[in-house]
Amino acid sequence: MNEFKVLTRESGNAVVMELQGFLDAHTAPDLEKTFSELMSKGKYNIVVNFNALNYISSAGLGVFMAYIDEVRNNNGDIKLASMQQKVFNVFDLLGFPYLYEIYKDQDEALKKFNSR
Amino acid sequence: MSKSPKSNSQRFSRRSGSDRIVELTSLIETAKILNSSLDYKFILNHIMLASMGKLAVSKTAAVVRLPVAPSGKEEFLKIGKGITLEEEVISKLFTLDMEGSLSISEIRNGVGANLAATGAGRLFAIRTSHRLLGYLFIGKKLVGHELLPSEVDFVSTLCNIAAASIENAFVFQQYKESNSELQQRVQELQTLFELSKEFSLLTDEARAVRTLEFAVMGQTGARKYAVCLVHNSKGKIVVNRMPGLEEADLHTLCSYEAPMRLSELTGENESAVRLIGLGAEVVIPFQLQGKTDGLLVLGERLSHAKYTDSEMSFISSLCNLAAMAIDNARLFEESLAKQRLEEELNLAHTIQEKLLPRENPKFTGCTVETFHIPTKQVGGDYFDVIKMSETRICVAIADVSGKGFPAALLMANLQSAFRALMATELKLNQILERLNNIVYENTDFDRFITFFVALYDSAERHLVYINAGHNYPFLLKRNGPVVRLESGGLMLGVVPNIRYEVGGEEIAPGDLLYMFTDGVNEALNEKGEQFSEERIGDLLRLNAGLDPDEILETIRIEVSSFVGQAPQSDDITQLCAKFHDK
Repeated sequence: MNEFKVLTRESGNAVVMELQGFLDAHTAPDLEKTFSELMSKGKYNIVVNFNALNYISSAGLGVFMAYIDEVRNNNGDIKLASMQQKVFNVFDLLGFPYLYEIYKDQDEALKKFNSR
Repeated sequence: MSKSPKSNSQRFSRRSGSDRIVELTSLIETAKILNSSLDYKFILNHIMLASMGKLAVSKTAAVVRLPVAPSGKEEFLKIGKGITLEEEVISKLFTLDMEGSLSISEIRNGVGANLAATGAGRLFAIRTSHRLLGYLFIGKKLVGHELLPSEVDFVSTLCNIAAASIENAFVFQQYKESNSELQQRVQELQTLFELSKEFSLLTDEARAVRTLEFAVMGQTGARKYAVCLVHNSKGKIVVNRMPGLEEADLHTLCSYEAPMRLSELTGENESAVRLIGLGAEVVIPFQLQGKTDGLLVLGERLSHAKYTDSEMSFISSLCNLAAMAIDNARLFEESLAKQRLEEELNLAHTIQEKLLPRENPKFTGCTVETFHIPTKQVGGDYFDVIKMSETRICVAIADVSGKGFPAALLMANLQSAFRALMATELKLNQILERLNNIVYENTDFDRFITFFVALYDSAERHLVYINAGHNYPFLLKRNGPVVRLESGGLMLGVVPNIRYEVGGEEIAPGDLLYMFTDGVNEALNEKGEQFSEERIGDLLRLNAGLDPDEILETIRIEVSSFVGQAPQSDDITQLCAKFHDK
């Protein structure tokens, strides 16, 4: 099985979620768990750093869909940053850039939260 | 204007020569720019601006017919600078399939007048050698006269260059679209592959539904959706991201077998109208072995795009995979439950076995052997051998009505009550009377127990017994006669507060006591005949000289060969005691 890991840490008024490895139908529940923990703690400003994520499948994208409405209903956002090209291609193919803000790097995304 | 015609013409031709060079340079420039562009909007814009600059006109417009969209609808891209074009006029113009250029006044087909009104002066076809791509409209010159032939040539050349570039851009766009469609298909296949792998590992219904949710959301970008599972022809919504949706809305849709667009069902199905009102667009049934096991309702998605046929059939494959996984999870759940029950039954069996004597006590005045096989893991037969003292021994046998767990529970109750009462100083008839009341109080009227108990005193060589409705045991006297032990009273648990009569028999060495439950005499063969007490009696008489364990084994073998392949219908219990001197 391919490994997947999520690390979270606070940065200013936001939480940075760092993804590592392979995000697919098998590992999606791990990410789901992290999101649901953040939701229960009322953390709605989320920057997801994709730098160390090597693969994402449709089921992986589905997790982001599952939480975006709840996050935005609480005046937060999920901002995506530092995607490898092949991971971005999947987001792009499925039309996600319409819904999510995607940044070159994590700090740029964090600035958006901090300037609010 | 008063100069000589010659000098005029010279000047004209000189000017025309330098103009020509400027014109050519500008055309080459244009060709370079246009050929390097794959954006036909930019291309149109460029030839419009180039014409406006060159001809000093203030109004232009251009239109191209876009490559046929998947929807099959004819679509145009139009740009107007001072000239507004009506869709209807454009469609008519394309039926002309014009070549070269025409002055607006020369155009037939009833659109000439419309065009003149827009301020267009001349119309140029933008076409490749084999097909018309679009038109360029040049407005009337400010001074009002027609374009010069050289100007017409210039614009025509511009249009030809543009045609090649636009064609190029079309091809590129089509390539891009088909490439993106191909990638979509690849992504879909990957998802399908991934899920079939994942589903095969899942043994949990909720997890399977969640996995489907993620895949569908990720693949389609649907924000509104619901999952309804159908089990034993009842629908249950397990995921509802469609506010207002209720189970009742989906009942009539469960009969559909193929993916459907709700907009196509409004005529035949009222629920479809209501669902559309809630934001639903398509409904995908989960099909398993030709049956609808669930429904996925999909609504508005990120891109606001409609669901295409190919997407619907893809999602349908996902749903069918999920249906299989959910079904497997249920089967797994059921087999787990069955396994748990089996384990409990085994445990109960072990407990019950421990309620029965495992080893028969050594006793000087007689040898006791027992034999027991339950039909199921737990049963309602009971027997006991209790050494009361060095000279007194008690043997008992009982058959609780019914089978399985209820009978086993009652048997356990009987065992504990009987054991407790035997430890008291009470007389046998008192014990039976109390036992009867206990069983009566603990059971419904249709439950009862047949019970036989005997107490043997080896010092007195005397046997006392009570038979409470049980099959009469055999007492074979050494010198021949066979006594059936009938004294006692009613079976336990039917009527409260009754008296029991105590029977008594003198015992001589070599006498044999044989007790059994109805599993022996009522054992059925394949013809449905009973083994019968006669056969037992005959076997006992023939084998009375054998040891108790040999007697039990003989009867067991006879019963088993009598029964043959017929299934064992009841618990079989036997107890045999042989009396002797020491």
